[in-house]
Amino acid sequence: MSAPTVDFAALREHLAGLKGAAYWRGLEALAATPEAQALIEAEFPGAAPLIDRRRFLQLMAASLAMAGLAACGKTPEQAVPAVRQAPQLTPGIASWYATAIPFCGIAQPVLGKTVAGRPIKLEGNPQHPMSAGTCDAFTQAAILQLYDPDRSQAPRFKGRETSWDEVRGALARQRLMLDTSRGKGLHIVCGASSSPTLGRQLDTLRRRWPEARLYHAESFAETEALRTSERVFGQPLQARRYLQNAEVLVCLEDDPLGSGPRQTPLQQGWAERRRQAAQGQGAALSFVAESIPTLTGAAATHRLAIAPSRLPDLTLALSRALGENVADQPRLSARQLEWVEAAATALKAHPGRGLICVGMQAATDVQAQVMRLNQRLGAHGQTLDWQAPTLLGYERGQFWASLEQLAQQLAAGNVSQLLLLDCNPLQASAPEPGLEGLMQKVPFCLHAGLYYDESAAHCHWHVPLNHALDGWTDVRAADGSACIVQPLIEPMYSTRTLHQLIELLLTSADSDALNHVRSTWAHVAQDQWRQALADGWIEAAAPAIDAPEAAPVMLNLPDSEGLEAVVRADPCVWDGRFANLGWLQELPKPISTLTWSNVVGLSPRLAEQVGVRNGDGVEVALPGQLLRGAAWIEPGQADQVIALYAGYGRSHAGRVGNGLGYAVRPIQAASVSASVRSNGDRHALAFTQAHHALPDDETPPIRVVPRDRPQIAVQQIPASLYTSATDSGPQWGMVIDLDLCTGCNACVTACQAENNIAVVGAEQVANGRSMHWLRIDHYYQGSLDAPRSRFQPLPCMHCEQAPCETGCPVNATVHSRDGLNQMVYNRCIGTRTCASYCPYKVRRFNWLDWSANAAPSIQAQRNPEVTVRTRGVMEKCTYCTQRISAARIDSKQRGVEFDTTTVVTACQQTCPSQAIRFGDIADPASPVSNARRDPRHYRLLEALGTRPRTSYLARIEDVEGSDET
Amino acid sequence: MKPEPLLHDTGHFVARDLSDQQVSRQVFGPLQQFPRPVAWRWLFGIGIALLMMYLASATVLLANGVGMWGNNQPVHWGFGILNYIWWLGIGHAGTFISALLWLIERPWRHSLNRLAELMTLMAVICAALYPILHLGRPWLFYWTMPYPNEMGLWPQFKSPTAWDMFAILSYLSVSVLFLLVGAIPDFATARDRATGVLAQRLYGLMALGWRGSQRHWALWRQTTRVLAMLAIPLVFAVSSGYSFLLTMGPQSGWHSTLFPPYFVAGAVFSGFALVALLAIGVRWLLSIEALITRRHLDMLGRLLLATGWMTAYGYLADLFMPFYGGDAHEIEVLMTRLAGPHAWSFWLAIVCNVGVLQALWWRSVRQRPGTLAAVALAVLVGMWAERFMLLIPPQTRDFLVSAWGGYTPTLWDWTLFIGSFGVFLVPYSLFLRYVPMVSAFEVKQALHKERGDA
Repeated sequence: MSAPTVDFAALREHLAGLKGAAYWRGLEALAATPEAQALIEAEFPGAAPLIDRRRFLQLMAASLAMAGLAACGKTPEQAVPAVRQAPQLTPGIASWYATAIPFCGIAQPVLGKTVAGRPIKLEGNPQHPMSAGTCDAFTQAAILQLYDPDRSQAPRFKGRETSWDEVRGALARQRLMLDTSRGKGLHIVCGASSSPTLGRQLDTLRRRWPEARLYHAESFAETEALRTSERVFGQPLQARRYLQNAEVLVCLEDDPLGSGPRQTPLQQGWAERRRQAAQGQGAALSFVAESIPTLTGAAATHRLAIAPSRLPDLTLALSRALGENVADQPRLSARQLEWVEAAATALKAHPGRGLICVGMQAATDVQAQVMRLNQRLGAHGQTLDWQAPTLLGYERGQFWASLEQLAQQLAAGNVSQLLLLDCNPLQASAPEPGLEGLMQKVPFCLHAGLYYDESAAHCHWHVPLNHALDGWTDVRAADGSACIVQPLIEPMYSTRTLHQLIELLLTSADSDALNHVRSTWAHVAQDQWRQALADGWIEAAAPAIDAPEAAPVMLNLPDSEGLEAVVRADPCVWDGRFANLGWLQELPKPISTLTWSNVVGLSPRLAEQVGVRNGDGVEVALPGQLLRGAAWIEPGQADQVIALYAGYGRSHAGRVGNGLGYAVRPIQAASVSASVRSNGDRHALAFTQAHHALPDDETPPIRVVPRDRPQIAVQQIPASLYTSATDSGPQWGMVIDLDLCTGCNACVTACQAENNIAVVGAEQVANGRSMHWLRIDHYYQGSLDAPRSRFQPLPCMHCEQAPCETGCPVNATVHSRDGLNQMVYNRCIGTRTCASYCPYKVRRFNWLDWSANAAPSIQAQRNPEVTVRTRGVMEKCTYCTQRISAARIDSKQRGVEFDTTTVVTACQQTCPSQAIRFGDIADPASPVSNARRDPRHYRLLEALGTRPRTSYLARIEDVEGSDET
Repeated sequence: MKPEPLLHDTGHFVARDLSDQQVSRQVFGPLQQFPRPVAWRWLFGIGIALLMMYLASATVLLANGVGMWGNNQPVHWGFGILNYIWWLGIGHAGTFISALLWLIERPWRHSLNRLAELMTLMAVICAALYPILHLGRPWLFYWTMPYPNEMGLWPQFKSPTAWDMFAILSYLSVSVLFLLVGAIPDFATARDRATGVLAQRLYGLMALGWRGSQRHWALWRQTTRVLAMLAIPLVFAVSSGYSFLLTMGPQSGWHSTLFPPYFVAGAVFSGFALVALLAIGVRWLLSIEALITRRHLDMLGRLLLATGWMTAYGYLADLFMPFYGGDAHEIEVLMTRLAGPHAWSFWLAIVCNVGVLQALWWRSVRQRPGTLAAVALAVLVGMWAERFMLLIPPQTRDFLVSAWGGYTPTLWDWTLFIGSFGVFLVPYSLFLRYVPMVSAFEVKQALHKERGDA
């Protein structure tokens, strides 16, 4: 198959020829060559014949088959609601419980909203500093995982369902053997956890069976950083970063703003810094050197694309520029040295206000050197401090062993009992020296987890664990504070907590889940305990530990020729643990807007060499792995790098997540040498934003202003014959600060959770029918090889002169007195005139019946205050009108004046950057009115005279590249 | 084989010496004995097959939703609206011929008006089904009509989509009335000539007790005149009406004051093309070359050429205005029409509606049934492409680049569209058997008038 390749020379030329601030979305539309035109055709939504309809049908079937579940559960008696102490449930009145969702062993503090005994929505816990009321997309989607009909529902033996009595019997037999062998042969593999209760239980277990061995299985864990800190400081220390103080942020192959267990607090800090900088308090510079485009890179003031193998050289140059006495010469290009010089100058100009971050996959000596540099820069106590490790895995001066060591033990035949606790090490295991084969010989294998996953399928026994929202445990947050995880609902299935399982192993007793956690915190008095449950945390963050002086490090400067591959966690399904969550699968990955698959990312130059275009099949050879995936050209990626994303290619994820993308085993190193070649396949990829260049004489949708003159040139609003829609009462409006938006997608998922937005599947996304009410538009700006990324969240504009309202023949979309553009689903007959007339294209149509056949458990998740839309009706952002009504009714009932600041939309609430402001624009004192008076304020497509109520604050740029000069 | 009738230099384009009996035999003969039964059976069979395809496609559509079509965000309007506009446009020529030419007394229209009116009726029905099928919830289509209900809800009268409902309904009712009233004397003749009892009863029912009295004629003339005067403004109102579907939106490429006249010209143009095609078919099937003469074909060719040039003026103005206005997005949309992924539709429209059309400058092309049919067919294809070009490309190039998209119709789009010819063809082929396809009494009147008998 000889596919036409992209004419990159023409693209570069075209971009160079554009005047002013050239915005573009992707590659193909930039070139006027027939090949490029053919490509556009091939990539148009609607022309995706390779994705079959099976996927959507499968989603529906996944929903239909699970009819066995009684949806409404009882709220457990011991759980204590945080906000409203409700002795009995009042129908229609929601209770809020403070709890936490563990993710990679780090608590995401949340408030869970339950209605009629059903948890329906999670919000950040405003009382906890690591949330401050916000949370990320993964945490928003945790509620869906609770209701996932594919979660494991009963214990299994050799794949067949069995009873807990059988499990107890089997464990009792093993216990007898272990008691005689003092635990010899017992090997326990744990996922990342910071649960003090689990730590206590494992201590008990090890005291009883001292020969037992523990292993750590977490694909993207910070273990390497801990090991390094032990080397540097003599004890393992966990870093806490305070980006709000970091006027100069230097990131070496690190993505603090991207997905991850610490994303929420890091984004908060970053946004706080930018907010202050916008008010003239200090700088907000960021220097990012990275191999593949990330959110941090997109937000950077100075971004450098660099291969991971050049990172030691870069660190060396940075050390030298910062005054370190280093002998070696860095081998860097002029452009790279220039970046280092700029970063070092900025760091030196802001003593004590700088921070260098390094990725956890970077080599140990690079990490060590960065620790030293941070110390020299005076970062300690300012932008960075240290705490004792909160994650389990370090005991008595020793780290838990790795999976490689487990493989050795298995090969040596030393393993008689293997327990895989809350982890899935076999998800992307290599075929030949892999654990699967070695595990065959183990007499007793038990897997405990949320799903009957790949690891479970290779074990004799599988026991289902509770979800964080239906079981008791405890977990530490990013700052080290301890949170109690309390259930919002009785366990939905025949599941146990990990603590109950270990108790079952140790004593065969059917223990109470709460007791395990309570006895860990036995020193806490009952009333304090109740308070802790209500607050969501039981122990405040530990004070910082003074780190000793770090010694200089000899950097090992590897030679690197040829291509290298990096393996990253997927921004939407992480290492695959969220693969069965439709919300996250359908969440457009930041920058590429791809959904439902992972891709092999190549830079434009590399794609040119390999001769592939977007969607062409490529074969990537890594040491010990050969994988086939779809190529995706990522402008701004380093040319020597092949970007691979873990979390896909799963066979036992569940009906939603199976068989998507390719599988890749995470690697420990920063990169490995690799090769790539085209294999002639063609993949249909589903992405939400098509690929086009903005005509260069149109006003760009994202406005950028320079730091020294943050003002928008005032645009004349066309005069209108119509009177303004403003009437009595509050007038709702929204302002989104593009200077704070990182494009992290938390708002999109929050909107989906709040508003019962349907998941439609890859085929329909490829057809251009995704349903998100709030989308995040992404544009590139600048050259092909080093473009800037710009994000713009786009909800309904709630135009005062809304074209959609003119179009509707049946009055199904009308304007309310308080300035909302309302959608009356019951009245809609589906002419789609409104959507045709909408200049912002924010309306979403139910082309087919997306929601009717959802599983009963999925139906139980739905927000009862939001109508579930049927086939054939239009829907769109309502400004969370149910929340406005709830607040108004509440104020009426209490007989007080309506305080409009109590209304918070779902997107606004969850945004870790707090980039969204919402409120009454008729009230001159409201935050949203203040924002509208900001000189950076502008409206989208103002010249059309639609008078949108949603408006934007321009992005502030520190370096050239703004378009308002 | 008798020679082709010559070009008759008469006002009615028919041979001056054609007798009343000959006319009656030509028009009413086929009601008793169809001259080409095999050809008719083929026609009817194909029609039935297409109709089945239509019914199957509509069933699938109604069972699953408009998601079966290729529509998407941002192309919310695809084949549904496209084919609606195309079919409705075609309908207009029938009214134009029967009403306007009747009012300005062009006797040659008597040979063509019946087949054109029947075409109008069926085209309007084909068109009217589309907006209903295109709805997300088609079973609620009547909500666009003003009817008293307990919620006190009315249509939203500012919406061009609501105007559509009124437009179609009034157009359909006026067309049906005009057709029925206009055919009363012919139905009476058919009743009188019928041999079977059933045929006598049915034609009698249609003839409404017509006895040909002076009073009948006076009333008939009055009614026809009123209906014709009602129908003429409708031609302009309805086709401007559906152009408002596009122009009322802010979308670049739609938002143009040019559209109403542009759409009227296009509508009549495409309608004449189908009339020409049908006239050629009907005169052969019914062997009525003496009534629909080459002179008629010549006139249809001239009309096609004239309305074609009016449409071409629309193209020119539509090309010129974005550059004259200078709005960047308008130019972007125009360039997409000219060179975007759907540029084929623009160029197909230009080739067919402007290029091929010029063949009609040659008399021989106009007068030879084969060549005229070829040009008419090209015009029908071209007009469909024109509707595509007007409707689809602007939607794919929205104001925000992030919302740009593409459009590919699905199999179900095509089967429903192709099937809609069955909706047209099945009743039309039944008309061929059971309805006098030429207004015999008017032709006779014209003949008498021409000869100075009356």
